[in-house]
Amino acid sequence: MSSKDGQQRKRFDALVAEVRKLGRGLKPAPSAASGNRRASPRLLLLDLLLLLFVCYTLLVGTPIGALAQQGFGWMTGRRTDVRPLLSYFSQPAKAKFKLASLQAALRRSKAAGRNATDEDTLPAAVAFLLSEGREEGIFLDVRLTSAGRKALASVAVVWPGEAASARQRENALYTGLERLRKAFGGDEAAVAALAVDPESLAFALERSRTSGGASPDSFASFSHYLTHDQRRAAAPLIDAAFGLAIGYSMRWPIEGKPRISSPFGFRFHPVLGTRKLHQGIDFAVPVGTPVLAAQAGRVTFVGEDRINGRFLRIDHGHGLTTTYAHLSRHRVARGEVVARSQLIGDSGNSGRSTGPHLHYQVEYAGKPVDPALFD
Amino acid sequence: MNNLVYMLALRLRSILFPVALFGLVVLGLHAGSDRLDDIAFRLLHNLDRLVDGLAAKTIEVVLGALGVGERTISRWSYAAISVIDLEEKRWAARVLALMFEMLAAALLIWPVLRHQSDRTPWRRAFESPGRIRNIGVVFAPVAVACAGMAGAVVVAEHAQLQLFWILRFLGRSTAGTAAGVGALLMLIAVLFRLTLPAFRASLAFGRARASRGPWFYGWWLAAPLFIGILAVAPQPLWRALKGLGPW
Repeated sequence: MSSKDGQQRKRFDALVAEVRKLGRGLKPAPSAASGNRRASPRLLLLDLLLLLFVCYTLLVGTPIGALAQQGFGWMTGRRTDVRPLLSYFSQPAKAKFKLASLQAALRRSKAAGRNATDEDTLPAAVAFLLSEGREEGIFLDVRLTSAGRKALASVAVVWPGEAASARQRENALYTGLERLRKAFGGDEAAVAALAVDPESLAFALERSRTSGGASPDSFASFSHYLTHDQRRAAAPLIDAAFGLAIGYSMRWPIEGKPRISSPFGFRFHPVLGTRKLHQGIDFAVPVGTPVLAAQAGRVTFVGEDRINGRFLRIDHGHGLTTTYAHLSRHRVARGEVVARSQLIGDSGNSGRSTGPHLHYQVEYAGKPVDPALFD
Repeated sequence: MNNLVYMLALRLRSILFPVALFGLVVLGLHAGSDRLDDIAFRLLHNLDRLVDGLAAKTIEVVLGALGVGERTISRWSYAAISVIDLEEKRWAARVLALMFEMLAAALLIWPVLRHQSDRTPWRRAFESPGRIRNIGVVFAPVAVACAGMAGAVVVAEHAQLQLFWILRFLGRSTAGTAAGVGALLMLIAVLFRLTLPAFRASLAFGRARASRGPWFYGWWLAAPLFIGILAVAPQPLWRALKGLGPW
């Protein structure tokens, strides 16, 4: 081989290398592409099922899915039962029961002369919520859905028929709830059983306990293992029942019978001089008076601002919170779990205040409620 | 006829595949942004306190210099600082989380919707890019992988519930075991058939972007969310995995 041939050979090799290098940037020939291999029909079917299921989960479980559903409804002119976009976020508490209903239930319970003890606050709350609401004395006419009757039947409680008295129905509910509490190992599960199929509830509790966490028996934990429809059926009843039960056993944050200097409701603001809603109750007490927790809960906020002065907020669960403002001193830290009647601070005159007092505020589902209803 | 059905199924798969990839990523993103609103609320509250302090001080100094009375100053400063209350901050935190989720989803939709079945071989996706010309090469695939994994768990949990609901006539124990096995299989299937292709598509897409266009800046915006998911997801993800399966 001559030197000229050798040079030509080298040039040719260099050209081939260049073409190969360029070729790396190109798409492979269709015959070599794995995507064009004939996929197995079984794998194709599996893929399709998988893809459809993921698309379905997207539609029912995310705000973007809700938007897509709304868009589809708008295009086809159909009404869609889609949740508001912001409801897909779990924080803060998801109390969905209407405030007006809670207030009505509290008023009915007062009218019925119900002085609930700590033991029967929950059954009493459930009875009031499931009753038809006639203020006809102590006995309320409790009505159960088919899911509730099935739940009671699962713990061998026969639901009295229409011929039975309202008292018998109420007693059956009390007995049923007690047995459900023992069967499912918790109060929240017992109330959930009235709205959710017992098998699904037992499964959800089992899964929740397996996955662990701080409180696997709480609705917040086990509802993760219920379907969306089941959650939607149980959440309002649980939130309302526990909100009401917590409310029943709340106490005043000041020992004894303190003087109320400003009640809940519209008033002329002492600083602004305009008509404004006073969102809580003001107790006229000297600086340094012990302030007690109205009910057990977790301290979610300890801080200070120019309006409320030193204040703290306690979350009692199920959408019920209490706020204690114008304190002179905090006695608890954020995140601390407090017991009912525990000392949480000293009253004062901090923030925008015209004199020493304690501003006590109760909120349900993020809205202020008259604390006197919980007296 | 069989061939026609097969071709139709292939076509349906090619249409659904990118949508499902996107759906998987969105499910994971939502799991992350669900925790983001709590963080956003705390940030907003602290910011509000800072602004309140500044506003009150400014009103006090300005009106004081003008010789306005104490009561009027108090009224003005009270009105200024009570414009935004806790309820508004809660609402704003949720809106922020929703916006962030939408933004992140919009930024990730393009690579996964451009995904062409299996035409991007792994070998090419992992070839050295020479020099990194686009930050998307780094952030987007990591983001898609994280969101895809979280999304796979969400899909598996949903499958577990649906299976139990369908099979509950078999009794709780049998239906529960079957649902657990089904959920595990679903998790594995989604991870291999969807999360990996989504990751691969994002990797290939990031490599192909040469210029510093809007996408370049887009990845930067999306990055914090994914870092957030990484920071908050491990414990709930681990708990969710414990809840899956027949044990």
